[in-house]
Amino acid sequence: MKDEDIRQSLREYIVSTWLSGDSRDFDDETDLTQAGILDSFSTLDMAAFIDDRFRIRLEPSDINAESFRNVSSLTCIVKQRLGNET
Amino acid sequence: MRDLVRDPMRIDRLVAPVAAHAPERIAVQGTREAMTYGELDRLGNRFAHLFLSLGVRPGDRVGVHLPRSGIAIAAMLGASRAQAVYVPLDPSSPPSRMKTIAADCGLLHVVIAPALLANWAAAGVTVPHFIVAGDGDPPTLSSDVEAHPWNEVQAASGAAVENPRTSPDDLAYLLYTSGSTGVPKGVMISHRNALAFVEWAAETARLVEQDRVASVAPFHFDLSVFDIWATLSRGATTVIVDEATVLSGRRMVERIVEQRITVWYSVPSALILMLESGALAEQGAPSLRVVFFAGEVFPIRHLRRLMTALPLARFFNLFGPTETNVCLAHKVREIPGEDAVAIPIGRATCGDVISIVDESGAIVPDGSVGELLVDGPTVMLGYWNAGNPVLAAHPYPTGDFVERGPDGEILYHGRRDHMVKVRGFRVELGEVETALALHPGILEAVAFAHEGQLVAVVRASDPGLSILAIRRHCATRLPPYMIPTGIRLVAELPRTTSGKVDRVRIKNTFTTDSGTAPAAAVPESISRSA
Repeated sequence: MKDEDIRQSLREYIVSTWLSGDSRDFDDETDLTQAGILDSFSTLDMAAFIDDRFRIRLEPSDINAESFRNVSSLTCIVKQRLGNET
Repeated sequence: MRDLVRDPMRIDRLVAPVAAHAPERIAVQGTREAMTYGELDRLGNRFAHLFLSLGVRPGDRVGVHLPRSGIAIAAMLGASRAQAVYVPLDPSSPPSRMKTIAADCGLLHVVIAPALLANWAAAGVTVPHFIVAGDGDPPTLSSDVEAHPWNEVQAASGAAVENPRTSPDDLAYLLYTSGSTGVPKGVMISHRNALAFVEWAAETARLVEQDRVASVAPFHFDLSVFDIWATLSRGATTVIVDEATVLSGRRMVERIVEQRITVWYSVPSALILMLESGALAEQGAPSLRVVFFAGEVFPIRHLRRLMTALPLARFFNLFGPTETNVCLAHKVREIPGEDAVAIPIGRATCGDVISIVDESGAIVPDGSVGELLVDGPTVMLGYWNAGNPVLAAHPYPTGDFVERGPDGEILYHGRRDHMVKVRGFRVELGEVETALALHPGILEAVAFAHEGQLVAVVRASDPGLSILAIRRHCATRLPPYMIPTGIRLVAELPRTTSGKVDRVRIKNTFTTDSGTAPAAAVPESISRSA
């Protein structure tokens, strides 16, 4: 799966789930915690989406503030789990 | 005559008797380290002596802003032994909310984790004395602020504090909950209030020293009173299930199994997470013998699954606002039938007396719905408000609508006002609306619960205002659970004939309208990173 496809999927999910479809001001570097998007509970929701969408299994150690910082860092962790680091 | 060991009248007297005869027993099992009763007792004394040396007087409020840990419990114990009132602060709340609370109850001393102190300092929020619970040098603060490093706590005396003039009616702690006017409210709980619940709960759970009780709820949430004080009252062990573990159903089950947790008290959401992860069905949790839940309605189909997965455990539905702690309880004797709609909230407990009244204050007949009034030993002293205590009405009107069923058990019918529950946390919609309206680009906002989630409809003066900008603003003022999941921008809010915002129509429009933000405001493609 291409880097841009992963990014696109993550962006669409975040924008539709937490931004009511409004993508203004949002980009791949937006800090998801500072934006009030990810907290302890929604992080779990995000992790479940990633597992389902990319058919991977995030380990508990993958779910941390660093990897869930923004779309770019999430893309990295998905790529690592998919095993196609291109 | 009262037995002072079993009925010590103050929460700070619960630990010393256990520490005296079993100092090596584990009081708090943290994620890495354990703290014995002897260590907890001494650290509580060290905190108390330090507070006294820093000028803490009886009745002063002392903030505790730490992750859940043995040190946090020792700080509360120490505050209590110094005859002060502890105020647990939410580690996940933004500094601006801490500032409001610190000003409201006049905090002069806060025990704080180094990372959290950095947040306060960055936001310019301060109190005269910080006691930094952690190694390393505290960050540099302004000249009128003192940051006392951890070695000052360690250097203080571990000997017992003499406090002859104490009363069970002294204030023990303040718990800040969401307030309808936009400012959090401090619920004032006395030692007598706390112990009425603690004693009832420890008896009901039949807690003994071998028990390992989970600490799941945040310390600023009233469920934690059981995890801490009921556990310590029986010489049992409180096992911290830390913030990271509570995120994952699977990890919570692993913690129960690995730590052989015997008693659990949480909101239903946490238990449902464990069910949804599949881990509970796979591994079971045979050590669990008592499950208390409270804070929100437990959906019957999930409760059925939970009781099936834990066939040996006893289940109790506890009920009561923070203002009354637990005032009603229902033992779930058997798995509810598939056609069951809800389980009762039960009968009055903890020595409380309840009544159900109509709008004129007259008692309603059995089977009719009315407001629940509570009086008795668990009812709070009052609210702390802008520096002053405001005494509670007796009996206390809860704002909850209930009905007495045919078997005498009370059934729950919802709220009278604009308070909703999100994941067991109470949220006053007014507080969310006030926070939203503080954004300079927002004219009006209406918040409500929709399908179990918090949502808001916002009328903005600035057409360029994005949902992301609104969320960012919320994150600086509200704890995460109070940030609306769905936010919709509208050009006009529907009004009643009197000109007031029509909440019913707004809710109905939200339910039927599939649109989200105004179409013109949303670019066609999702934006890319710069």
